[in-house]
Amino acid sequence: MGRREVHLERLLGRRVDDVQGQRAGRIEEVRAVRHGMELEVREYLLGPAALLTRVVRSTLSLPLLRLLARGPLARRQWRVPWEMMDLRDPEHPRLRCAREELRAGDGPEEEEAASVE
Amino acid sequence: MELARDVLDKLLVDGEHRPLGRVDGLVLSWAADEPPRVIAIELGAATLAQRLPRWLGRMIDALARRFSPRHGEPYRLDWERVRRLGRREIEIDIDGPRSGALDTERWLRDHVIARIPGA
Amino acid sequence: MKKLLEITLGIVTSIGGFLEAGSLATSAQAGASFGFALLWSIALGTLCLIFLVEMSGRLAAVSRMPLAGVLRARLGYSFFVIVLAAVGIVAYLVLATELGGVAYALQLATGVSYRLWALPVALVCWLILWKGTFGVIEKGVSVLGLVTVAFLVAAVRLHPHWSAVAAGLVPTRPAHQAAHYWYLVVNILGATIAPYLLYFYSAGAVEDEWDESHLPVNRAVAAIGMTFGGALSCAVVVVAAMVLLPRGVRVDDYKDMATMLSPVLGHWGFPLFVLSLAIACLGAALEVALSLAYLVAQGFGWNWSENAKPRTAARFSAVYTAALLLAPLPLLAGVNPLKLTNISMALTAVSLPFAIGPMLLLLNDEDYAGEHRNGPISNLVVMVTIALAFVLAVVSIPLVVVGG
Repeated sequence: MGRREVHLERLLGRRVDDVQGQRAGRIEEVRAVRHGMELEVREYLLGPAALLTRVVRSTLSLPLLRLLARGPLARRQWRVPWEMMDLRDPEHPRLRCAREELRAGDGPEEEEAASVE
Repeated sequence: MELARDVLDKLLVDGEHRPLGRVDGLVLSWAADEPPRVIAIELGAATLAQRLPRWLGRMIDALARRFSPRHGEPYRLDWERVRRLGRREIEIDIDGPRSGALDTERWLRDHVIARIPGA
Repeated sequence: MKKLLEITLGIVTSIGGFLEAGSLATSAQAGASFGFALLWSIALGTLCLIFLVEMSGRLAAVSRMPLAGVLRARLGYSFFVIVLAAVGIVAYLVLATELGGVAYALQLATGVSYRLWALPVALVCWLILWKGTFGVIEKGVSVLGLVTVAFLVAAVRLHPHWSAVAAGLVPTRPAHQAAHYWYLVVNILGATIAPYLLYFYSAGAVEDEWDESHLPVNRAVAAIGMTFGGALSCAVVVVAAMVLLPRGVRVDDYKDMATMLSPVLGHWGFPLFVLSLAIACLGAALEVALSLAYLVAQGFGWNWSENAKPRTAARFSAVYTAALLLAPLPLLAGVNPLKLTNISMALTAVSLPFAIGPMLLLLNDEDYAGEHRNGPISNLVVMVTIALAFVLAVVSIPLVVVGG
């Protein structure tokens, strides 16, 4: 298999199905780690809360949004490790696992979000 | 680092702080069993057209093919050229005025604007 | 000392630049139809505008980025395109409206139809933008715009019952013509809370290289300048209420308002009205054309500056050139300038949620507004304004149908 390419901006908003063909959510954010200038994809974030964090995380000083970001909606975010995402057909990304196996929540940045007071 | 929030749509400037455009697209690439890496930034009307509703994107793409000096070819900047990833802008190691990023600007300047007296 | 000068200049600029086709016409219509009763809508609109202008100036001073640039970087392309479409269409119509105002003033002065003046007026605007710098355009035209203070002079010399004027600042339900009343409310709010002004003001702050040290200037200019500007709009209402209303004049055309200053200012009245209309609309036309170019260029990351030569910002200059080329079309087609004004103001009201909604997010953003984020009062005001904007957007079109 040669090198493959995909456009990040075209992945955003795409619906992802899991290995059994069940809907797992839409891709709203892609998280990468930085080595020097190089950016390596670590995980994909699915679900409405991922969109919420993308748009409002630096705006949490607004009480209304803080409420939203802490409320029940905030749990509707799932993290897909890069090796679990099958992007061979970028128009129809698929999970390599069942959606029940995905971890919910915000992951590495949870502490940071909690420290915003 | 969140790619959509921290990189996409940010302003691109060259070493002299001249604007080149925005991060209209980000290209990820990978070989088997490797995590995808960001390999390039794309900019231009053709890339932006892909981010619109399909009917509108097709229309703009057709217009770009017909009328733009790049004939609707998106312009790619290799990620290696990124010098600084700022919170507000991204600096690229490139000579802006001569780069393909400003093809349309140059074309419009030479063929239209500069021909009007007083420009 | 330098700051004091800046504040004074900024205030003069806001006063001289406040009146334009929309605020002049809708204020005159309000006074002629309802006396002082609609003054409250100007006060409400001005209060919203003060906060919004202060916020857009503060965001630019702190982030050193213009509003449209922050909008795209922070909320992404899809959202930017929606704002661009909404604000862009309205800005085009308002530009046509302002050109119509200048053209009609020339018709009043010369007797030659506004349709023949449309193209020459657009050409003059374009020449000013092509050759002028930001400072010349902003300060120069606004200082000339001080001629609109004539309305304030006229209002004072009419000796209105000030208690009756003050009573007009309290919202009341109309006794008659309810649909027309609310239609004018929407028009006035659309004319007062002009979204293009926010883009213009923030781009200006970046052109003038504002930083945190300009925040007091910004606050003073927004609060004092806009308050006096709003007072000018109110003066137009007062004059119309005391001159046009008793004579039973209904303002359906700019010529119906043309003699409103004459009973007070004598033979100076007519030329002052014509001059006010021409200069106010010319200044606004320049601002709108520039705002459109700022919005597009900043959103797409092009080089932009009104202080640079057109050739160094080719795409930016091309945007205002194209806008001024297309804007005379409705006038050439013979659309009545006052009708065009009313339509533009009503549609401005429709576009307000798109223009103002993002301000709440951007002004609370740590990355861009930093420690100068909105406080609770600004947030409360902007939330109320957004709620108001949504109501206006929903009721605007139906009111044009029943009340226009």
